[in-house]
Amino acid sequence: MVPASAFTSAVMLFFGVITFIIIMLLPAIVELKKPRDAGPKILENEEQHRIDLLVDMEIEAKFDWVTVRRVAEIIAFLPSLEP
Amino acid sequence: MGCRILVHKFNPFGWKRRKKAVENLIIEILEALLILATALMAAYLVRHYIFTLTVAKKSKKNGSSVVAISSDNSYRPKVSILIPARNEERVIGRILQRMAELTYPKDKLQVIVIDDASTDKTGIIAEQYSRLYPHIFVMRRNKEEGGRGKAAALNAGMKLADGEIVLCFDADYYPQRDIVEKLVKEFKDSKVGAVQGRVVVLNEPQNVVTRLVSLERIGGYRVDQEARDSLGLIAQFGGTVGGFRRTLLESLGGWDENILAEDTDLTFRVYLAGYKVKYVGDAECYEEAVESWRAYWKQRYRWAKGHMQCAFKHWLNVLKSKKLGLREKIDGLLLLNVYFLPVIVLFSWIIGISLTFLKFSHWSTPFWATSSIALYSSIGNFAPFYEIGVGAYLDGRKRAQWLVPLLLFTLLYNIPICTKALIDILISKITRKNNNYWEKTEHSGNGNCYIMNNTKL
Repeated sequence: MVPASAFTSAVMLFFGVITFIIIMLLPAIVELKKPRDAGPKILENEEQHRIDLLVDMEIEAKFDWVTVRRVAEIIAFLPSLEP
Repeated sequence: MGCRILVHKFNPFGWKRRKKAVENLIIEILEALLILATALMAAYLVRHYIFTLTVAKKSKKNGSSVVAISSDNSYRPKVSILIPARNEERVIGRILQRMAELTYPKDKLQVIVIDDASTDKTGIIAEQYSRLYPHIFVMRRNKEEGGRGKAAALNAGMKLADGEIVLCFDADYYPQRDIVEKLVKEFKDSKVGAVQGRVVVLNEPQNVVTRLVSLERIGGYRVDQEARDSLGLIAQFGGTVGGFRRTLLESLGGWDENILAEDTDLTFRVYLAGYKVKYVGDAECYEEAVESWRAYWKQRYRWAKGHMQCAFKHWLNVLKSKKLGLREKIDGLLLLNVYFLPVIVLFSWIIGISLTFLKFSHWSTPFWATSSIALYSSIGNFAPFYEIGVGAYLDGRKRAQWLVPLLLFTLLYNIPICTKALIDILISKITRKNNNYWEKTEHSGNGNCYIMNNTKL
């Protein structure tokens, strides 16, 4: 058996360490480059609150502001009935 | 006779023998220190594995990662919530809006914002909320009174608080709407002196720092705190998303303004007074994590220094205490000394390298020996990472687990942080100069984009 020279040992150690680090960090690098994680945990019961807010916003968006403004203009035009 | 002594004195063989004896003594001392350091690291390693296995078993038993709770409407004590804020204009509106949305009866709720001599619009925003919502109060501290740290601000806020229970939230936090009910219900048990909820990082997707901090939080709360609570060990009050029984807090003299980790200090004072801290895992609250390595350094330096102050202050009290069991004492000492661990890792590296150079002559041997020590110190301490991986899994964050190996860098980063903290503490002890300066963590408000709120202002 031929004993490995000091140089060969050093080169093998160097590449061994580099390979180990790359293999260890590879998944992390992939996740950092293309994150597929769902993000922060949604607080418990918070989802319902979000849905409520979305529903409110949707209702507000669908609200017929044009008609409301017309009715408001008509009311404003009418004479005051207060004494 | 005198001649013989003279000969002996200049005998080159005798001198060499003595040099060899000194060298052997140094090696033996270093070996003993390395064994001690290894034993300490092994103790933490075992502790982390016990915590992880406990939580994993508990989750399997419950069949779900979240423990369901039954809400009890009969127990509704008056609650005071303290929110210390110093230059928090970017985030203060968010938490005050949430304080207005809390489901706890408003007539039993008192929210006190302590504007700690802010130079921005924090106080103005808080006062606008105070005008809109009668349960929100603002305490404004001027330049002379304020700016002396969070503990001082909280002590000032306590003067206004009249609730039976006192809860604290940081200004950058964003809790669940029913968090007060969840935290307060634990005080029905007379042995519970304090409660702690779970912290979740809000701005996690922002960058690599926030993502790593989030992983640390998952490990710390989802596994560490939950396991300590399940095993009846020392659950920790984290300074925010938690609170105290008011009478207990007053009897303890409030927050210690000379300690940078005022939360850990209070945790130990609660336990030493014969009470316990209850961890409530389903009482969740968002926080804005630090966004840069520089901010991470500042925050961790404060934590490390504060924790070390607590270790010096409480270790003997913990050992002597008759109110703590053996398991609580062991866990308490490990918890108190946790920020010494990165210093011990560094110490073991230095000893290992010294030993290899002192003991061997062949050039390749130090390489191997150093590598083995380096591997032990990192992989051997891999248990916290394993813990974090399991925590992420239990949270259903399987993809986040992919980032776990990167925590090796935060461990390495913590080595200089904790070493500097220890050196600074030792210097302040020798010079008897108190150089504790509360360096506030800046909050950008970038986390706002991840929540949906209907802020009125």
